[in-house]
Amino acid sequence: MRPTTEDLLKLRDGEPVSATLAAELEDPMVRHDVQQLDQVRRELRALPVLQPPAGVWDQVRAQLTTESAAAERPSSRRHWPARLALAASVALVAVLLIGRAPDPVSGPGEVPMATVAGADVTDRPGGRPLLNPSYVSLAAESRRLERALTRLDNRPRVITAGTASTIAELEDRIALVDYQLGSLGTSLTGRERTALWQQRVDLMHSLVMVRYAQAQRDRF
Amino acid sequence: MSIRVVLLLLSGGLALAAGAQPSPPATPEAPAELDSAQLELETAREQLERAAREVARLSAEIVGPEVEEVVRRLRLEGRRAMLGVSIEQADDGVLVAGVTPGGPAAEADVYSGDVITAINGIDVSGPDGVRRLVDEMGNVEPGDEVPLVLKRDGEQRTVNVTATEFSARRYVFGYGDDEPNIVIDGDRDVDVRRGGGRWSRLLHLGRWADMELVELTPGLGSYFGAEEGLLVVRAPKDESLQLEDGDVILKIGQREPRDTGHAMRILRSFEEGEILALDIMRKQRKRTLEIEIVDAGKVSRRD
Repeated sequence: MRPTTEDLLKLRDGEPVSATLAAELEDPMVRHDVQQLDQVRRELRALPVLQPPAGVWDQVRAQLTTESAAAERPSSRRHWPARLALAASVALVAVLLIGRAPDPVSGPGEVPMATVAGADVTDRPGGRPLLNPSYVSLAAESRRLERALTRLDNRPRVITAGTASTIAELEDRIALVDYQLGSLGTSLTGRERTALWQQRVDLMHSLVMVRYAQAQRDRF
Repeated sequence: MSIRVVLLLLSGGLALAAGAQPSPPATPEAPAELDSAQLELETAREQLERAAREVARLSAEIVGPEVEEVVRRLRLEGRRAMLGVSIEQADDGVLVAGVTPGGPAAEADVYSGDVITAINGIDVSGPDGVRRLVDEMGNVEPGDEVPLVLKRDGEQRTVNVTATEFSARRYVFGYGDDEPNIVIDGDRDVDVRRGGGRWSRLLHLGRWADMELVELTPGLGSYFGAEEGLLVVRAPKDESLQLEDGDVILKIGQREPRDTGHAMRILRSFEEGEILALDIMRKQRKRTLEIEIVDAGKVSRRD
């Protein structure tokens, strides 16, 4: 079976998937394909940064505008199968990025979050049930998303002001959550602490999505 | 619309944008199709931008009563220094449970999972480590270099984190009918009010939004006569903003933007009626543009 985008999003989110899909993911050939994709990603990231020649900025801009407009046209009519495959690849890479991300080279190993005092909360703000009642699992999820962010290419790239503003807004809100967790510290109740961690995970999730989408604009 | 639906839309916009990418060259006899494809590409990108902003808006909307109560208890008076970490009490110190993306701790290579055992020479390895750390942060000023002793993978290391100011004036919470229920204002502390239309500009920049920027690298900067700054790859369509392709933004309101995110934060800090001074480099010559902020996200040339 071919996983749908919904399946891939479930995998990325750590939600249960069908037994059939789970079994297919263990298939050696699938693993081999995943390893090949990972290798391609590493090699692409290892490519050197090219500098433009002097004094040709205007010419390059004009040429790019003309050529990219010409080059993009055929894909709208003739390459839908390729587009679908490309979209599936994007989603798959997103899964790889988030789900298989090891710790940064200089980063720490796994620290058991169970060493943190737990909370006993069974629902999240607004009455929506939590998949896991403890903020400990939320903190672990947050950490997983942080690792995913560190794997994105952070080199300067062209970005619209609208997207830059969105990213800044998300980062600022995460900063506020962290400030609340830090400054109020032990005075927080279990429910409050869990609500803050849930908010942090939601914000981190959004940030990863926006940053990843931004990265794709220049990649394909 | 739920945030999950928007995330799916964002994925869809991503796929569209990815699908409309370069492939074999076009034949010259089909200019109409060319225009159509170009329009499709631009539409896909605009959808992506809108979905991204919607994600951010909903992220602010989903807060519940517990978070709103916590916000009301925050003490925000005076200058507040922050390291950019969320912390929890651990058995052997203060666990770094989260590192704020783009924050000072992230810049200093602090990672989630590190355990802080000392800050500014103060031991925080005991069971009251969080309280001692929070107390010590009360003595830290924004800009101070704060040495942290960390345990990571069983090894001890010291990192220096430059504390930044926690600026609270830009936060709103609990939107309802597009109006915020709670506004954190750096000047007025935490406030609860409705009808704060001026806050709508927090999540978009109006006529600035279509501007495309890239941080100048030293090599690229030599072609533009600037060592640092933000290169305007594509100027905003709104001509009243006066920017042109190839301009380099050096300062926004006397402040040097460190990166594109910082530039957006500076832009957002301007209020209606203020004059925004943009120092730019155009064709290797410095110029200052003066732009009056008319209302949220809109500006006009100052006569």
